[in-house]
Amino acid sequence: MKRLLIANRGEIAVRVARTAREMGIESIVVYAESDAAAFHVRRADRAVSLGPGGPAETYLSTERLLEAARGSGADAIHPGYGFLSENAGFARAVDAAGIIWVGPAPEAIEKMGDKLRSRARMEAAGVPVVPGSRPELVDDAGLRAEARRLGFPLLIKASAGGGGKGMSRVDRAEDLPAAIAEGRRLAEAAFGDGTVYLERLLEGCRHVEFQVFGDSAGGLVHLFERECSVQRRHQKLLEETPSPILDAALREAMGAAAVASARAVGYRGAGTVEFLLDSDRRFYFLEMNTRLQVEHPITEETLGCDLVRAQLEIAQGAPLPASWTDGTLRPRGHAIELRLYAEDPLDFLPRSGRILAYREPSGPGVRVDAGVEEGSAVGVEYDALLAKLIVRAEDRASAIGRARRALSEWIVLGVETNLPLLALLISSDDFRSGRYATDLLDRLPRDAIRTSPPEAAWIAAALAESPSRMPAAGAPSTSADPWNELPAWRIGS
Amino acid sequence: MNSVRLRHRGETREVRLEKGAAVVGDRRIAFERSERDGRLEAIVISGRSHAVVTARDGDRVFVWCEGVAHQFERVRGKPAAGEGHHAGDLVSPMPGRVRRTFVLPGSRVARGEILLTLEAMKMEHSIRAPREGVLRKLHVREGDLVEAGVELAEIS
Repeated sequence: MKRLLIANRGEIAVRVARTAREMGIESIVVYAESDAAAFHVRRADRAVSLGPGGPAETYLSTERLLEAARGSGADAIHPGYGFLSENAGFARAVDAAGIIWVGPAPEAIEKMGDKLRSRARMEAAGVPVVPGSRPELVDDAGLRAEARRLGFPLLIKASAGGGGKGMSRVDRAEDLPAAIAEGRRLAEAAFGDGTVYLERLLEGCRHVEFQVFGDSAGGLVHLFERECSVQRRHQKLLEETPSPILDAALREAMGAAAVASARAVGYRGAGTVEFLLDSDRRFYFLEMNTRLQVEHPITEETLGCDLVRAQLEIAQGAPLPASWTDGTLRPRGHAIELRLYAEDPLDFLPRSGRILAYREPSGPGVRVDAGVEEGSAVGVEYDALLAKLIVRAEDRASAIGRARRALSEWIVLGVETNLPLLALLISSDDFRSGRYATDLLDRLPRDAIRTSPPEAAWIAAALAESPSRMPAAGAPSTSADPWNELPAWRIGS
Repeated sequence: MNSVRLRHRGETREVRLEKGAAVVGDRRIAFERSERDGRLEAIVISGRSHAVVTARDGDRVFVWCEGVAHQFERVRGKPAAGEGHHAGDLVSPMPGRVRRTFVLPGSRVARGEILLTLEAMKMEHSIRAPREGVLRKLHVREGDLVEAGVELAEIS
């Protein structure tokens, strides 16, 4: 591998380019024309335009990506996460073009991408799944009969969905027909496949996933868990490892199930097996993500490894690292990831604009994987994830303290973000206790975010309204009486 | 008079800057400012330093103060009696692209009826009629990009 094309944008494109550089591999990023000023474009050795258009014509276009790869002489493609990372057709097209695909075999992507059939496959492999409707019963009558068997509340899920997208809750039998119709419509619109199925809705569950890795020789390991129960709109907001709820026995059982899941589809490369864990500590296979996860850095921090490097080496035919397979691998300390989103911290609706001021936290045990900088435009075309803060410390309490400290150093002005929510979350008793489930956010008194600014902030805002009164640049000054230098205030427009 | 009216969410305050002090609402606060290279770095009140970073975009003023970001808006002109202009209750709750419109101007709408859908960052959001009435105007068309806080339609 000499030249790696990264078929993505934002923080993950920057993340992959960094490892490529460390390995002496030339990195090539791509960009939609409207995205030419984006942060990732200047963070690789080369940048290639994908031309005009929205995401569908650019980052999601197999044709344009392959053209960019051929034109730039790339011999490998890393898809990142999202976009085409779990698209078997793209993986096949990359293979067919004689380019190394940094990911699992297309067949494995396909098998796990069909959420309905993958459930049956997992059951056959001895992995417990959430009670749900059978794959052959997908018409109205079949689903209604299965609903009676399973009982309410239920979840309607899109077979081509996943990642918390394309699902809805049904509490009563009389609401089922309309909910199925709506579910099919949404699934068809979002994924081009209207097939839906039912799952019993398990309440009070935690969401725990296992990182797995396979090589071309059939070697398969798990790299321990990530606790992903802190979610909003079924999307993750904060992840930590180790999970505060797992003991050694449960960890071993779930880890073995994760490896069995991956083995059942002949998995190669980095993947993640997601489980629901109920209040009686029973676990159920939820789905497998056949790519690198957003939250992969917490595994890297506790294991002291680079998962992207492992991906790139395995894609070139290397075996799993010896230190992963000799039975000595143990996580060290505790790591937490907090996701910075451009969104309203209370209703989670996206926000856009320009980042006018930006400063990242730093110091011991702090890592920021960012996709923006000062001056970056935050649009509405792409995912609202701006950056990730990853902290590591010797134990959970210290990691929480470190996260609080780091959040208080993070300065983002110009676009509203969920920073206040992250700060509230990390300080909450429910989170600190470690005894929380996926409803944690609903239980938080989130209105506490809406506090009135302190007087110093009102004064600073008034001062900022008149920039021309600043003294000439020069010696640092603490002036007891700044007003002598002020010209008249501008009133009106 | 060095005075500016600032709004933070629903709250509007007048901040008057005097020699070595500011009057925020009805409270007079003696302060000093600390700056470096012409950039404000802290507001010092009673010897305690409050770190700040500020940025402006038109009438919007952003202030980061000790770990928390606040957004203010400068309010210009005279304070109108009873807060004057009614902003309308049909404004976009988020920036996005108008994916579909469902109702034509002139039609009657029921309370809660979906008028249009907005799409941003891969999520769809339905805009519903806040009350029953006649859709007088629709300010957007399918495919339009809108900012947050823009009036989308009028119902009377």
